Amino acid sequence: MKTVKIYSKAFLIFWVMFVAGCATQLAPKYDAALFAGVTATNVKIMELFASVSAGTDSSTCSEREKSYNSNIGSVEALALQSEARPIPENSITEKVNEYLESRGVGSMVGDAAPSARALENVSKQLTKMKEVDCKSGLTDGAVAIFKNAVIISMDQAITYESFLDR
Amino acid sequence: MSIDINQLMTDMKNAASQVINQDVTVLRGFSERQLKALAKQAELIAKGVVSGDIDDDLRDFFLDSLEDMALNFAKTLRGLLIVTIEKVWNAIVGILWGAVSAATGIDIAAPSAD
Repeated sequence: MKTVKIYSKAFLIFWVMFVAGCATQLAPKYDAALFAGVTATNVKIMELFASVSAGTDSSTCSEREKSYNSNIGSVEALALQSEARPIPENSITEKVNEYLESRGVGSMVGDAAPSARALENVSKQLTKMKEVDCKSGLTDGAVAIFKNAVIISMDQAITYESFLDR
Repeated sequence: MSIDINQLMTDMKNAASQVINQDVTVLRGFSERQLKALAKQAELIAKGVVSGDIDDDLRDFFLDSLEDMALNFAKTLRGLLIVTIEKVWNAIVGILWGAVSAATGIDIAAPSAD
């Protein structure tokens, strides 16, 4: 009887060790500095949009150039920071991917963080906006479309990064 | 000390439900905001084309961007779900770990993420 108890205990310990190996990280780690950078840059970009909400004249583009460059530089640096973060790679992520692929679904883990793509899109929007602003000026309608595009992408980046704080 | 299987199952269900209930609120809010903003973007582009606020080049740029944003919305949602799966997984492992530690009387360090 005593022997059975000892074996049971040993089995439980091995089982626990197996379970411990399964405790895993499937998404990147939260980066407080990155999150703070994204939210601070978001404020600066919204200030830029507020200053051009009624549309612009290309002759005054140089007045906004510094703000465009500063914001584009910030979001590109943040996108790089997000992408450079290690994506967890372990046996569990491989198993999850294998299972999903066997079911005809693309892999769910191991991709770059979606916040990096979102921030790249913000950079793309601001770069195009600056180009149009300096070439022919912006109509208020065009500003509204650029602004909404930036809001969509910033929402993706902010929501994802804050969600990583688990 | 033996493990109460029914209690263990209840504890695991509760731990998973707690994570899921919290995260679903965030996921639902995010999805609603994104779908509304994407629909608004389509409307703004259409209005801009009709009014002449945007030329052909800008129209094409905005339409390409709209496609990219819709795709990244799906990828972001997928990313959020992965985080939820991870949290549920680790919550359940934590419960199992605690139950086995209590049953064996051995103080084993909590599992860490690898």
